[in-house]
Amino acid sequence: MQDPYLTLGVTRDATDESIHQAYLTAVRDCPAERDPQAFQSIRSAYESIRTKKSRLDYALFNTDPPTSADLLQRLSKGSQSQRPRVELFRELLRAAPRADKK
Amino acid sequence: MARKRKKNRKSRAGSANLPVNLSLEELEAQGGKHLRAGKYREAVTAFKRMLQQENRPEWLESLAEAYAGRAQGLADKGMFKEAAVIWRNRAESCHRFLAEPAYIELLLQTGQIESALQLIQQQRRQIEERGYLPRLRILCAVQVLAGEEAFLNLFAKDDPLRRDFPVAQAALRAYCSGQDVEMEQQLKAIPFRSPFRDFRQILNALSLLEIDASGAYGLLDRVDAGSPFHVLCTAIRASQSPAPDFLRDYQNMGKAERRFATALKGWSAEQLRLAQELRQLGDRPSTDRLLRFLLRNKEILGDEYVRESAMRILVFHPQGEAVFNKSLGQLSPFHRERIASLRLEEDGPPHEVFNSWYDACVRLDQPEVCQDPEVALTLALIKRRMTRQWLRSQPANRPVFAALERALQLDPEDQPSYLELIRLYREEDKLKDARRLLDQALSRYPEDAEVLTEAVETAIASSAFKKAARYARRTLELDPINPKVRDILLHSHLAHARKQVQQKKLMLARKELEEAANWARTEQALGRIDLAQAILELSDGNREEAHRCFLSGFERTGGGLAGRFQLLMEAGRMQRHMATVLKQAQLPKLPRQVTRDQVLALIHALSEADENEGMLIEALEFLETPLKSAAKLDFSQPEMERLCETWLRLEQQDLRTRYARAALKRWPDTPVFVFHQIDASQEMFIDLSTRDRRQLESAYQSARADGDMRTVHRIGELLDAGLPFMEPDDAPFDSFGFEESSESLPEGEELEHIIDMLMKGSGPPEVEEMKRELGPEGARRLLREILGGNFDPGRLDDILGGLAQPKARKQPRKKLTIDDPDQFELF
Repeated sequence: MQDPYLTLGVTRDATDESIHQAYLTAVRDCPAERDPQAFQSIRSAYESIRTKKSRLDYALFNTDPPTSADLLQRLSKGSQSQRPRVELFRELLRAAPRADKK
Repeated sequence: MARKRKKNRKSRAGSANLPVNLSLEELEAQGGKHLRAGKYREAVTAFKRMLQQENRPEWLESLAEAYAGRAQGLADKGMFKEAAVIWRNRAESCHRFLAEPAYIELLLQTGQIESALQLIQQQRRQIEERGYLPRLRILCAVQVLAGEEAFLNLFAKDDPLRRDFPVAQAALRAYCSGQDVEMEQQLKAIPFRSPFRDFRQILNALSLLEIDASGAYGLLDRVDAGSPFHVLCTAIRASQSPAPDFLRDYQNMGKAERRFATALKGWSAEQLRLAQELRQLGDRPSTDRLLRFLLRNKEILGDEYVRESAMRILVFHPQGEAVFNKSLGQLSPFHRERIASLRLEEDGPPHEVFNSWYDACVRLDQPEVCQDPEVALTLALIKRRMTRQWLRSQPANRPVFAALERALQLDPEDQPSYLELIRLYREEDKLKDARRLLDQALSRYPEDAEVLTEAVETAIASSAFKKAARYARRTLELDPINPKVRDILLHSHLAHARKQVQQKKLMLARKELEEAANWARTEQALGRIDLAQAILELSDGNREEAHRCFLSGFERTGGGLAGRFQLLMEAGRMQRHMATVLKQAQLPKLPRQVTRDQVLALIHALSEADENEGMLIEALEFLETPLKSAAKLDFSQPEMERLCETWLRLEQQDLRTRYARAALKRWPDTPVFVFHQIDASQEMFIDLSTRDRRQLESAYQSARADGDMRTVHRIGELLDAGLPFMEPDDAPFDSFGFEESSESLPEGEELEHIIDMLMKGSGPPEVEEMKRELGPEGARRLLREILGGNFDPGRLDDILGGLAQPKARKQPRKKLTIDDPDQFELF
């Protein structure tokens, strides 16, 4: 099972309310009819941590070691998309025909 | 090496060569065939040989086509220089125009910017005449945006390229500096036919990406894959993919694309390094490598996250505790015990799992500590966990009840715990406790259908049928289609009717049966009411009506064996002599040989019957003869398995042996039947015969090979049990079996007698160990304290006063190191 906090994009100290909000946002972005599998993982992530008791239960008894995907997601956490500089556009366009034909 | 290369070249040339003696017609056919099949190298060879013999314009045309295809093929493989050479050969051999956009693109792809500029300059007029200018403009648009502004000079001042370049450049600068309004205004000035059209879409997509990713992808989709700007789309998409996909794509990117995509993703160089390191670990890294990775990178991953994740790894990798402690500080005693308990849950015996969790609780379950609501909740969760683990394979007992009760004290707002505890108390016939819990639950959840259902069942278990009916009606008011309660009501009225029949209150019994009929939902249920009615009529002297009801009930409950079984059960429940009732019922005679369907119908009835009802086995005895002869019937293998399982459940070992033997005749050596046959015929306390042991060992291997782990486990247990006397592993908490009798602890002579028994010869291993450690007198004193219910670990010195003290042990056994008075309760 993927780390439910990462799945919902909430911190370890998130409240019931913020987890509920994150869940609603996640299911809106990923409705069941579009991606049932992703929807299911959002749903089970929510069930795992929706209340204080379930969060404590998860912390005490969950034994799933972090997956590579978890860790990669954790690494990306806090990274916000940055606009590349003009030089990076130029560099890529200069190499454009080569890069795209590879 | 040189020789090798030469040889390869020769062989490759050879494969393109065509037989020397082919006629022109044959060559033409071969050349056309290769051209159509996309085998351009072979086509070039064929058409060149044809043209050496005769110069025909259509062959020259085909040769040019073959060259172009070959050049494209090489370019697709990234062999741009080789593709450019082919293109020049094409121009020379086929007298073709060299400065086609495809060739200029190849020059740009190989970094020959000057050559490209010169060629365009020299061939400017012809390029225009041949209609290549629009494509060339786009190629040059990419170049000028990349900083090669010399390309602007190739075009007139009013050319779209020169006209739109400043706008595109300004839009790019505006985007990069976050001035979206400015960017939008600039982009609006780029017309639809501009060579910067694709670039306009891409900048629009980039600014939209932050607020509407799918809208942005829609814009990117409009950029043709053949556009020289498309490389931007590829990099943008890669940057937005989830981390694992991004890393996979990253491996195939060029340097510039990597830098662009990483920047857009917002990853720092450190994050990228870590991600690559993680990727090298693979999808399923070993626990040790994973733990070390986490600890090594705790700063970037976050201390708390790493601690939590590392503790999960320790469950499966206890050796990692040293590195954990070194990096994150000493693991607290609570977490060490928590992790040990989770580890034990994997394969430890139930009592060790329970005790381990118990140890984890001890430190927290102190008045001053568990006042903290979070600690209280933690304790409650652990206590529920340990009981759930225990109940998976063991029956409820005193420590389980104590743990669940304590959990409710700590966390009284847990409705499922009330339900579970009520159910367990009821199952253990502790009805007083069940009612106490029920009262608590009802005061908290008076309108809860599940609690009310438990109230119904508890009332029935207490023979309080009126109360049960009252609760059931309340439940149905809240949940009108509650089938469970409907069944409970039916059975409650039936049970009440039987009680009335026994007390000869026949009028009341009739009313109860009428009530029961109101809740009956199936023919089976109506049949059972008929059978009860039949016995009532017998009691009332209505023989004819009784006969009619018997027949109706018999048919409705399946006739044959099943109907007979239900009739016998009903007689038993009414406390009537079964044989007499069976005779009075005057049922149609059972044929000498029953059918397969009749046996299966009986099995179904047995599966629904409560095996705790004492009369079940008695009822079955009436059917034993036809059931014995039915073993040879044509049952399928799964049916036969089900039959053997039923006989096992009901402890009908004779029937089980017969059916297993019959099954083995049809499916020889099938492990599950080997198990049933030997287990059913095995006498208690008698070792397995060598033949049986061999047969079981072979079946064990077969079952393992088939992946039938249930049978593997069962045979394993049977083989173990067949060994000389062994202490059962699953004795709850102690080896003496006094857990359940602790309410009336032995004393006086009885106590001394028990101690004598335990001390004699080779008693339980624990006693032997005590004798070894403390000497016979020490062991005797300790046993006296333990069995007498007075043991206090703090008084160990007093108990053993004057005797040698216990030896220090490297690994004291849990059962002998009771350091908590409550833990003693487990004995």
